[in-house]
Amino acid sequence: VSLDDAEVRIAAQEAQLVAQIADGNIEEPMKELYRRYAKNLYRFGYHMLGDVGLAEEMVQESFQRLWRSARRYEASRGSVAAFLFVIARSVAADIRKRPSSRPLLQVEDFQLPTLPDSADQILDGLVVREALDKLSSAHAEVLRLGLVEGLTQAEVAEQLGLAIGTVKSRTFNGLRALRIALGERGIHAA
Amino acid sequence: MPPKGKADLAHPQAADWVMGTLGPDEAVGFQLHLKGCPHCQAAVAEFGQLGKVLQNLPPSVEPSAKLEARVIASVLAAAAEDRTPTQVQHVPAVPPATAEDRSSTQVVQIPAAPPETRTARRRGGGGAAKIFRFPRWPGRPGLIAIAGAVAAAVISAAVVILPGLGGGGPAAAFAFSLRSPSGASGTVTAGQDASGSWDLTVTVRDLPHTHGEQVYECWYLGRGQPGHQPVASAGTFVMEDGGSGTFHMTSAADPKDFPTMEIVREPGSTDGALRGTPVLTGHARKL
Repeated sequence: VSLDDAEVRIAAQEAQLVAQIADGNIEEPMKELYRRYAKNLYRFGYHMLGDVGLAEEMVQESFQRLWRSARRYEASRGSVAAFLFVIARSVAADIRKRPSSRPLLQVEDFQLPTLPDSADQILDGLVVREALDKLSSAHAEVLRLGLVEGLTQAEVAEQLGLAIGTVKSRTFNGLRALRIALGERGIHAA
Repeated sequence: MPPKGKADLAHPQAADWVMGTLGPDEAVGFQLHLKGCPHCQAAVAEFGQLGKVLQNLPPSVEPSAKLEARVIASVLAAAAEDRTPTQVQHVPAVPPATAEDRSSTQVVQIPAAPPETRTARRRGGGGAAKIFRFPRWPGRPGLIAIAGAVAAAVISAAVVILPGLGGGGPAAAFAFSLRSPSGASGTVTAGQDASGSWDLTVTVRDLPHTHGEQVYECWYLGRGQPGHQPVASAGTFVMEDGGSGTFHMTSAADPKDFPTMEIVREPGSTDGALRGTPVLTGHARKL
Protein backbone atom coordinates (compact mmCIF):
# COMPACT_ATOMS: atom_id res chain seq x y z
CA VAL A 1 0.00 0.00 0.00
CA SER A 2 1.61 3.24 -1.07
CA LEU A 3 1.19 6.33 1.04
CA ASP A 4 0.18 9.55 -0.63
CA ASP A 5 0.41 12.96 1.00
CA ALA A 6 -2.96 12.65 2.73
CA GLU A 7 -2.04 9.28 4.17
CA VAL A 8 1.28 10.62 5.39
CA ARG A 9 -0.56 13.45 7.16
CA ILE A 10 -3.02 11.03 8.72
CA ALA A 11 -0.21 8.72 9.83
CA ALA A 12 1.62 11.61 11.48
CA GLN A 13 -1.58 12.80 13.16
CA GLU A 14 -2.34 9.36 14.54
CA ALA A 15 1.23 8.93 15.75
CA GLN A 16 0.73 12.20 17.63
CA LEU A 17 -2.48 10.84 19.19
CA VAL A 18 -0.61 7.79 20.45
CA ALA A 19 2.15 10.04 21.81
CA GLN A 20 -0.47 12.03 23.74
CA ILE A 21 -1.86 8.82 25.20
CA ALA A 22 1.64 7.78 26.22
CA ASP A 23 2.00 11.14 28.00
CA GLY A 24 -1.14 10.51 30.03
CA ASN A 25 -3.55 12.64 28.00
CA ILE A 26 -5.75 9.67 27.31
CA GLU A 27 -9.42 10.44 26.87
CA GLU A 28 -9.72 12.59 23.75
CA PRO A 29 -6.97 10.90 21.70
CA MET A 30 -8.39 7.51 22.62
CA LYS A 31 -11.88 8.59 21.58
CA GLU A 32 -10.53 9.81 18.26
CA LEU A 33 -8.74 6.52 17.58
CA TYR A 34 -11.82 4.61 18.68
CA ARG A 35 -13.98 6.49 16.17
CA ARG A 36 -11.51 5.79 13.40
CA TYR A 37 -10.92 2.13 14.04
CA ALA A 38 -13.58 0.58 16.26
CA LYS A 39 -15.85 -0.45 13.40
CA ASN A 40 -13.12 -2.27 11.53
CA LEU A 41 -11.71 -3.77 14.72
CA TYR A 42 -15.18 -5.03 15.54
CA ARG A 43 -15.65 -6.51 12.08
CA PHE A 44 -12.31 -8.23 12.34
CA GLY A 45 -13.20 -9.50 15.80
CA TYR A 46 -16.56 -10.83 14.67
CA HIS A 47 -14.95 -12.53 11.70
CA MET A 48 -12.27 -14.17 13.84
CA LEU A 49 -14.42 -15.05 16.86
CA GLY A 50 -17.90 -15.61 15.44
CA ASP A 51 -19.66 -13.90 18.35
CA VAL A 52 -20.72 -10.30 18.88
CA GLY A 53 -19.93 -10.33 22.60
CA LEU A 54 -16.44 -11.70 22.06
CA ALA A 55 -15.92 -9.20 19.26
CA GLU A 56 -16.79 -6.34 21.63
CA GLU A 57 -14.47 -7.79 24.25
CA MET A 58 -11.70 -7.94 21.66
CA VAL A 59 -12.24 -4.27 20.81
CA GLN A 60 -12.19 -3.24 24.46
CA GLU A 61 -9.09 -5.26 25.23
CA SER A 62 -7.34 -3.99 22.10
CA PHE A 63 -7.73 -0.38 23.23
CA GLN A 64 -6.61 -1.33 26.72
CA ARG A 65 -3.45 -2.83 25.27
CA LEU A 66 -2.99 0.17 22.98
CA TRP A 67 -2.92 2.38 26.06
CA ARG A 68 -0.53 0.01 27.82
CA SER A 69 1.76 -0.15 24.78
CA ALA A 70 1.58 3.49 23.70
CA ARG A 71 5.08 4.27 24.96
CA ARG A 72 6.51 1.48 22.85
CA TYR A 73 4.97 2.70 19.61
CA GLU A 74 7.52 3.88 17.02
CA ALA A 75 6.09 5.61 13.97
CA SER A 76 9.15 4.63 11.93
CA ARG A 77 8.21 0.97 12.25
CA GLY A 78 4.65 1.21 10.96
CA SER A 79 1.34 3.02 11.08
CA VAL A 80 -0.89 3.27 14.13
CA ALA A 81 -3.44 1.20 12.22
CA ALA A 82 -0.94 -1.61 11.74
CA PHE A 83 0.11 -1.35 15.41
CA LEU A 84 -3.51 -1.54 16.54
CA PHE A 85 -4.38 -4.50 14.32
CA VAL A 86 -1.29 -6.41 15.42
CA ILE A 87 -2.61 -5.92 18.96
CA ALA A 88 -6.11 -6.97 17.88
CA ARG A 89 -4.80 -10.11 16.23
CA SER A 90 -3.01 -11.02 19.44
CA VAL A 91 -6.13 -10.37 21.52
CA ALA A 92 -8.25 -12.47 19.16
CA ALA A 93 -5.72 -15.30 19.40
CA ASP A 94 -5.86 -15.13 23.21
CA ILE A 95 -9.65 -15.23 23.24
CA ARG A 96 -9.73 -18.17 20.83
CA LYS A 97 -7.43 -20.15 23.11
CA ARG A 98 -9.74 -19.66 26.04
CA PRO A 99 -11.92 -22.65 26.82
CA SER A 100 -14.83 -20.47 27.89
CA SER A 101 -15.18 -19.01 24.39
CA ARG A 102 -15.74 -22.39 22.72
CA PRO A 103 -19.23 -23.29 23.94
CA LEU A 104 -20.46 -19.98 22.60
CA LEU A 105 -20.19 -21.13 19.02
CA GLN A 106 -23.68 -21.79 17.87
CA VAL A 107 -22.81 -24.54 15.44
CA GLU A 108 -20.75 -27.36 16.85
CA ASP A 109 -18.67 -27.92 13.77
CA PHE A 110 -18.38 -24.20 12.98
CA GLN A 111 -14.87 -23.49 11.74
CA LEU A 112 -13.37 -20.15 12.61
CA PRO A 113 -11.27 -18.61 9.86
CA THR A 114 -7.52 -18.84 10.04
CA LEU A 115 -5.94 -15.88 11.79
CA PRO A 116 -4.26 -13.60 9.26
CA ASP A 117 -0.47 -13.66 9.23
CA SER A 118 -0.05 -9.91 9.42
CA ALA A 119 -1.77 -6.63 10.14
CA ASP A 120 -1.46 -5.74 6.45
CA GLN A 121 -3.51 -8.78 5.55
CA ILE A 122 -6.21 -7.72 8.02
CA LEU A 123 -6.20 -4.14 6.79
CA ASP A 124 -6.40 -5.20 3.16
CA GLY A 125 -9.43 -7.36 3.93
CA LEU A 126 -11.12 -4.47 5.69
CA VAL A 127 -10.40 -2.09 2.83
CA VAL A 128 -11.90 -4.60 0.39
CA ARG A 129 -14.99 -4.85 2.59
CA GLU A 130 -15.37 -1.07 2.60
CA ALA A 131 -14.92 -0.89 -1.16
CA LEU A 132 -17.49 -3.64 -1.63
CA ASP A 133 -19.98 -1.74 0.52
CA LYS A 134 -19.60 1.30 -1.76
CA LEU A 135 -20.32 -0.42 -5.06
CA SER A 136 -23.43 0.56 -7.02
CA SER A 137 -26.53 -1.21 -5.82
CA ALA A 138 -26.92 -3.36 -8.95
CA HIS A 139 -23.38 -4.69 -8.65
CA ALA A 140 -23.41 -4.92 -4.87
CA GLU A 141 -26.66 -6.87 -4.83
CA VAL A 142 -25.51 -9.75 -7.02
CA LEU A 143 -22.15 -9.93 -5.23
CA ARG A 144 -23.81 -9.86 -1.83
CA LEU A 145 -26.26 -12.63 -2.72
CA GLY A 146 -23.35 -14.78 -3.82
CA LEU A 147 -20.88 -13.96 -1.06
CA VAL A 148 -23.23 -13.60 1.90
CA GLU A 149 -26.19 -15.77 0.96
CA GLY A 150 -24.13 -18.31 -1.01
CA LEU A 151 -26.55 -18.26 -3.94
CA THR A 152 -25.47 -19.52 -7.34
CA GLN A 153 -25.90 -17.40 -10.44
CA ALA A 154 -29.05 -19.36 -11.33
CA GLU A 155 -30.49 -18.83 -7.84
CA VAL A 156 -29.68 -15.12 -7.91
CA ALA A 157 -31.37 -14.86 -11.32
CA GLU A 158 -34.48 -16.55 -9.97
CA GLN A 159 -34.58 -14.38 -6.85
CA LEU A 160 -34.14 -11.11 -8.74
CA GLY A 161 -36.22 -12.09 -11.77
CA LEU A 162 -33.31 -11.52 -14.14
CA ALA A 163 -31.84 -13.54 -16.97
CA ILE A 164 -28.88 -15.59 -15.81
CA GLY A 165 -26.69 -13.90 -18.42
CA THR A 166 -27.53 -10.52 -16.86
CA VAL A 167 -26.57 -11.79 -13.42
CA LYS A 168 -23.26 -13.08 -14.78
CA SER A 169 -22.55 -9.74 -16.48
CA ARG A 170 -23.36 -7.81 -13.30
CA THR A 171 -21.13 -10.14 -11.31
CA PHE A 172 -18.14 -9.68 -13.61
CA ASN A 173 -18.72 -5.93 -14.00
CA GLY A 174 -19.08 -5.62 -10.23
CA LEU A 175 -15.76 -7.38 -9.77
CA ARG A 176 -14.14 -5.07 -12.30
CA ALA A 177 -15.54 -2.00 -10.52
CA LEU A 178 -14.29 -3.39 -7.23
CA ARG A 179 -10.80 -3.91 -8.65
CA ILE A 180 -10.68 -0.29 -9.78
CA ALA A 181 -11.91 0.93 -6.39
CA LEU A 182 -9.25 -1.15 -4.65
CA GLY A 183 -6.58 0.20 -6.97
CA GLU A 184 -7.55 3.71 -5.89
CA ARG A 185 -7.00 2.59 -2.30
CA GLY A 186 -3.57 1.16 -3.07
CA ILE A 187 -4.59 -2.49 -3.17
CA HIS A 188 -3.93 -4.32 -6.39
CA ALA A 189 -5.76 -7.62 -6.60
CA ALA A 190 -4.85 -9.38 -9.85
CA MET B 1 0.33 -17.31 -21.63
CA PRO B 2 -3.01 -15.56 -21.09
CA PRO B 3 -6.17 -17.46 -22.12
CA LYS B 4 -7.43 -16.74 -25.62
CA GLY B 5 -11.10 -16.60 -24.65
CA LYS B 6 -13.20 -13.68 -23.40
CA ALA B 7 -14.41 -13.64 -19.82
CA ASP B 8 -17.69 -12.04 -20.80
CA LEU B 9 -18.51 -15.09 -22.92
CA ALA B 10 -17.83 -17.50 -20.08
CA HIS B 11 -20.50 -19.85 -18.74
CA PRO B 12 -22.37 -18.66 -15.62
CA GLN B 13 -20.72 -21.48 -13.68
CA ALA B 14 -17.43 -19.62 -14.09
CA ALA B 15 -18.93 -16.81 -12.01
CA ASP B 16 -20.07 -19.39 -9.46
CA TRP B 17 -16.54 -20.78 -9.33
CA VAL B 18 -15.10 -17.32 -8.74
CA MET B 19 -17.67 -16.56 -6.03
CA GLY B 20 -17.22 -19.93 -4.36
CA THR B 21 -20.87 -20.92 -4.65
CA LEU B 22 -20.48 -24.22 -6.51
CA GLY B 23 -21.19 -27.40 -4.60
CA PRO B 24 -18.48 -30.10 -4.47
CA ASP B 25 -19.91 -32.17 -7.34
CA GLU B 26 -20.53 -29.09 -9.46
CA ALA B 27 -16.99 -27.89 -8.78
CA VAL B 28 -15.54 -31.17 -10.05
CA GLY B 29 -17.70 -30.95 -13.16
CA PHE B 30 -16.66 -27.34 -13.75
CA GLN B 31 -12.97 -28.20 -13.45
CA LEU B 32 -13.40 -30.76 -16.23
CA HIS B 33 -15.24 -28.19 -18.33
CA LEU B 34 -12.59 -25.54 -17.64
CA LYS B 35 -9.85 -27.52 -19.38
CA GLY B 36 -11.61 -27.18 -22.71
CA CYS B 37 -13.28 -23.76 -22.44
CA PRO B 38 -11.08 -20.73 -23.19
CA HIS B 39 -13.79 -18.26 -22.15
CA CYS B 40 -14.16 -19.79 -18.69
CA GLN B 41 -10.37 -19.94 -18.43
CA ALA B 42 -10.29 -16.20 -19.17
CA ALA B 43 -12.90 -15.52 -16.47
CA VAL B 44 -11.06 -17.57 -13.86
CA ALA B 45 -7.77 -15.90 -14.80
CA GLU B 46 -9.30 -12.43 -14.55
CA PHE B 47 -11.36 -12.83 -11.39
CA GLY B 48 -10.09 -15.90 -9.55
CA GLN B 49 -7.72 -14.14 -7.16
CA LEU B 50 -10.17 -11.37 -6.32
CA GLY B 51 -12.84 -14.00 -5.76
CA LYS B 52 -10.65 -15.75 -3.17
CA VAL B 53 -10.15 -12.44 -1.37
CA LEU B 54 -13.91 -11.84 -1.34
CA GLN B 55 -14.68 -15.28 0.02
CA ASN B 56 -12.72 -14.54 3.20
CA LEU B 57 -13.88 -11.02 3.99
CA PRO B 58 -14.88 -9.78 7.42
CA PRO B 59 -18.64 -9.34 7.69
CA SER B 60 -20.40 -6.01 7.34
CA VAL B 61 -21.42 -5.60 10.97
CA GLU B 62 -21.42 -2.61 13.33
CA PRO B 63 -20.52 -2.42 17.03
CA SER B 64 -23.21 -1.24 19.42
CA ALA B 65 -23.40 2.50 20.05
CA LYS B 66 -22.73 1.93 23.73
CA LEU B 67 -19.39 0.25 23.19
CA GLU B 68 -17.45 3.50 22.89
CA ALA B 69 -18.42 4.69 26.36
CA ARG B 70 -17.56 1.30 27.81
CA VAL B 71 -14.18 1.14 26.12
CA ILE B 72 -13.16 4.66 27.06
CA ALA B 73 -14.35 4.22 30.65
CA SER B 74 -12.43 0.98 31.03
CA VAL B 75 -9.21 2.52 29.74
CA LEU B 76 -9.60 5.52 32.04
CA ALA B 77 -10.26 3.20 34.97
CA ALA B 78 -7.13 1.22 34.23
CA ALA B 79 -5.13 4.44 33.86
CA ALA B 80 -6.47 5.79 37.15
CA GLU B 81 -5.57 2.57 38.89
CA ASP B 82 -2.14 2.73 37.36
CA ARG B 83 -1.55 6.22 38.75
CA THR B 84 -2.54 5.17 42.26
CA PRO B 85 -0.63 2.32 43.87
CA THR B 86 -3.09 -0.42 44.62
CA GLN B 87 -3.89 -0.80 48.27
CA VAL B 88 -5.45 -4.11 48.97
CA GLN B 89 -8.04 -3.63 51.65
CA HIS B 90 -8.81 -6.62 53.76
CA VAL B 91 -12.53 -6.42 53.99
CA PRO B 92 -13.81 -8.29 56.98
CA ALA B 93 -16.04 -11.09 55.93
CA VAL B 94 -19.66 -10.37 56.68
CA PRO B 95 -21.41 -13.37 58.15
CA PRO B 96 -23.91 -15.00 55.86
CA ALA B 97 -27.54 -14.26 56.30
CA THR B 98 -29.15 -16.14 59.10
CA ALA B 99 -32.47 -17.87 59.08
CA GLU B 100 -33.77 -15.10 61.32
CA ASP B 101 -32.70 -12.49 58.80
CA ARG B 102 -34.39 -14.25 55.96
CA SER B 103 -37.58 -14.85 57.81
CA SER B 104 -37.77 -11.24 58.91
CA THR B 105 -37.38 -9.82 55.43
CA GLN B 106 -40.35 -7.64 54.58
CA VAL B 107 -41.12 -6.22 51.23
CA VAL B 108 -43.24 -3.10 51.35
CA GLN B 109 -44.16 -0.89 48.43
CA ILE B 110 -43.27 2.77 48.83
CA PRO B 111 -45.03 4.48 45.96
CA ALA B 112 -43.26 7.82 46.28
CA ALA B 113 -39.80 6.56 45.53
CA PRO B 114 -39.01 5.95 41.89
CA PRO B 115 -39.05 3.60 40.19
CA GLU B 116 -39.91 0.96 42.73
CA THR B 117 -38.81 0.77 46.32
CA ARG B 118 -39.06 -1.86 48.90
CA THR B 119 -37.90 -2.17 52.44
CA ALA B 120 -36.23 -5.17 53.84
CA ARG B 121 -34.16 -6.02 56.83
CA ARG B 122 -30.50 -5.79 56.05
CA ARG B 123 -28.48 -8.69 57.28
CA GLY B 124 -26.83 -8.28 60.66
CA GLY B 125 -30.01 -7.42 62.48
CA GLY B 126 -31.21 -4.00 63.50
CA GLY B 127 -33.68 -1.80 61.73
CA ALA B 128 -35.04 -2.02 58.26
CA ALA B 129 -33.04 -0.78 55.30
CA LYS B 130 -34.44 0.34 52.00
CA ILE B 131 -33.98 -1.79 48.97
CA PHE B 132 -34.30 0.16 45.80
CA ARG B 133 -35.32 -2.27 43.15
CA PHE B 134 -34.45 -0.71 39.85
CA PRO B 135 -35.08 -2.38 36.53
CA ARG B 136 -32.27 -4.75 35.89
CA TRP B 137 -30.97 -6.78 33.06
CA PRO B 138 -29.34 -10.14 33.56
CA GLY B 139 -25.64 -10.45 33.00
CA ARG B 140 -24.45 -12.22 29.90
CA PRO B 141 -22.32 -15.00 31.33
CA GLY B 142 -19.47 -15.98 29.17
CA LEU B 143 -20.23 -13.66 26.31
CA ILE B 144 -17.81 -11.04 27.39
CA ALA B 145 -15.78 -13.22 29.68
CA ILE B 146 -12.25 -12.08 30.19
CA ALA B 147 -9.68 -14.61 31.17
CA GLY B 148 -6.68 -13.03 29.51
CA ALA B 149 -4.08 -12.32 32.11
CA VAL B 150 -3.39 -8.95 30.63
CA ALA B 151 -7.02 -7.97 30.69
CA ALA B 152 -7.36 -9.04 34.26
CA ALA B 153 -4.24 -7.19 35.26
CA VAL B 154 -5.28 -4.09 33.44
CA ILE B 155 -8.65 -4.00 35.09
CA SER B 156 -7.79 -4.92 38.63
CA ALA B 157 -9.21 -1.60 39.47
CA ALA B 158 -12.42 -0.01 39.95
CA VAL B 159 -15.82 1.31 39.21
CA VAL B 160 -15.65 4.41 37.11
CA ILE B 161 -18.59 6.67 36.86
CA LEU B 162 -18.70 9.11 34.01
CA PRO B 163 -21.91 11.09 34.15
CA GLY B 164 -20.92 13.05 31.07
CA LEU B 165 -20.65 10.07 28.78
CA GLY B 166 -23.25 10.08 26.09
CA GLY B 167 -24.37 13.54 27.02
CA GLY B 168 -21.25 15.39 26.04
CA GLY B 169 -20.80 17.03 29.43
CA PRO B 170 -17.69 17.05 31.58
CA ALA B 171 -16.77 13.62 32.89
CA ALA B 172 -16.65 13.29 36.65
CA ALA B 173 -15.13 10.00 37.62
CA PHE B 174 -14.99 7.80 40.66
CA ALA B 175 -13.18 4.58 41.26
CA PHE B 176 -14.10 1.63 43.42
CA SER B 177 -11.57 -1.05 44.18
CA LEU B 178 -13.33 -4.36 44.61
CA ARG B 179 -11.37 -6.71 46.81
CA SER B 180 -11.82 -9.80 48.90
CA PRO B 181 -9.70 -11.51 51.54
CA SER B 182 -9.95 -14.64 49.43
CA GLY B 183 -7.91 -13.05 46.66
CA ALA B 184 -10.77 -12.45 44.25
CA SER B 185 -10.87 -9.00 42.71
CA GLY B 186 -12.99 -7.05 40.31
CA THR B 187 -13.97 -3.83 38.69
CA VAL B 188 -17.08 -2.24 37.35
CA THR B 189 -17.16 0.57 34.87
CA ALA B 190 -20.30 2.64 34.69
CA GLY B 191 -21.23 5.27 32.15
CA GLN B 192 -24.46 7.20 31.92
CA ASP B 193 -26.13 7.16 28.54
CA ALA B 194 -28.30 9.85 26.99
CA SER B 195 -31.43 8.38 28.56
CA GLY B 196 -29.97 8.65 32.05
CA SER B 197 -29.46 4.92 32.53
CA TRP B 198 -26.11 3.61 33.67
CA ASP B 199 -24.29 1.05 31.58
CA LEU B 200 -22.21 -1.17 33.82
CA THR B 201 -19.37 -3.43 32.82
CA VAL B 202 -18.57 -5.79 35.67
CA THR B 203 -15.26 -7.60 35.48
CA VAL B 204 -14.32 -10.16 38.11
CA ARG B 205 -11.32 -12.41 38.73
CA ASP B 206 -10.91 -15.62 40.67
CA LEU B 207 -14.47 -15.94 41.89
CA PRO B 208 -15.69 -19.38 42.95
CA HIS B 209 -18.09 -21.04 40.53
CA THR B 210 -21.79 -20.75 41.13
CA HIS B 211 -23.73 -23.96 41.54
CA GLY B 212 -27.33 -24.83 40.90
CA GLU B 213 -29.57 -21.82 41.32
CA GLN B 214 -26.84 -19.64 42.80
CA VAL B 215 -26.13 -16.26 41.24
CA TYR B 216 -23.77 -13.39 41.94
CA GLU B 217 -25.73 -10.19 42.49
CA CYS B 218 -24.23 -6.71 42.21
CA TRP B 219 -25.54 -4.52 45.02
CA TYR B 220 -25.07 -0.80 45.37
CA LEU B 221 -24.97 0.32 49.01
CA GLY B 222 -26.06 3.86 49.84
CA ARG B 223 -24.99 6.06 52.71
CA GLY B 224 -25.90 5.17 56.28
CA GLN B 225 -24.90 3.13 59.26
CA PRO B 226 -23.61 -0.34 58.44
CA GLY B 227 -26.55 -2.65 58.21
CA HIS B 228 -28.96 0.20 57.61
CA GLN B 229 -27.89 1.57 54.22
CA PRO B 230 -30.32 1.68 51.35
CA VAL B 231 -29.28 -0.88 48.79
CA ALA B 232 -30.00 -1.30 45.08
CA SER B 233 -29.42 -4.26 42.87
CA ALA B 234 -27.76 -3.65 39.53
CA GLY B 235 -28.14 -7.19 38.21
CA THR B 236 -26.96 -10.77 38.48
CA PHE B 237 -24.59 -13.12 36.73
CA VAL B 238 -23.46 -16.71 37.05
CA MET B 239 -19.95 -18.07 36.93
CA GLU B 240 -20.10 -21.48 35.32
CA ASP B 241 -16.90 -21.56 33.35
CA GLY B 242 -13.67 -20.24 34.77
CA GLY B 243 -13.43 -17.88 37.69
CA SER B 244 -13.15 -14.71 35.67
CA GLY B 245 -15.49 -12.87 33.41
CA THR B 246 -16.99 -9.60 32.27
CA PHE B 247 -20.72 -8.92 32.29
CA HIS B 248 -22.83 -6.03 31.12
CA MET B 249 -25.78 -4.61 33.03
CA THR B 250 -27.89 -1.49 32.94
CA SER B 251 -29.16 0.22 36.07
CA ALA B 252 -31.18 3.29 36.88
CA ALA B 253 -29.30 3.73 40.17
CA ASP B 254 -27.04 6.77 40.30
CA PRO B 255 -23.73 5.62 41.78
CA LYS B 256 -23.23 9.03 43.42
CA ASP B 257 -25.99 8.08 45.82
CA PHE B 258 -24.62 4.57 46.28
CA PRO B 259 -20.90 4.94 46.94
CA THR B 260 -20.22 1.32 47.84
CA MET B 261 -20.63 -1.84 45.83
CA GLU B 262 -20.83 -5.40 46.99
CA ILE B 263 -20.94 -8.47 44.82
CA VAL B 264 -22.91 -11.01 46.79
CA ARG B 265 -23.36 -14.72 46.19
CA GLU B 266 -27.09 -15.23 46.43
CA PRO B 267 -28.77 -18.59 46.84
CA GLY B 268 -30.86 -18.10 43.72
CA SER B 269 -34.42 -17.18 42.85
CA THR B 270 -33.71 -13.62 43.96
CA ASP B 271 -36.81 -11.98 45.33
CA GLY B 272 -35.56 -8.47 45.97
CA ALA B 273 -33.82 -9.13 49.27
CA LEU B 274 -30.13 -9.05 49.94
CA ARG B 275 -29.56 -12.43 51.52
CA GLY B 276 -26.24 -13.93 50.57
CA THR B 277 -22.57 -13.65 51.35
CA PRO B 278 -20.53 -10.77 49.93
CA VAL B 279 -17.49 -11.92 48.01
CA LEU B 280 -16.24 -8.56 46.74
CA THR B 281 -16.54 -5.15 48.30
CA GLY B 282 -15.30 -1.73 47.31
CA HIS B 283 -15.75 1.95 48.09
CA ALA B 284 -15.89 5.04 45.92
CA ARG B 285 -12.82 7.09 45.21
CA LYS B 286 -13.12 10.29 43.20
CA LEU B 287 -10.64 10.50 40.35
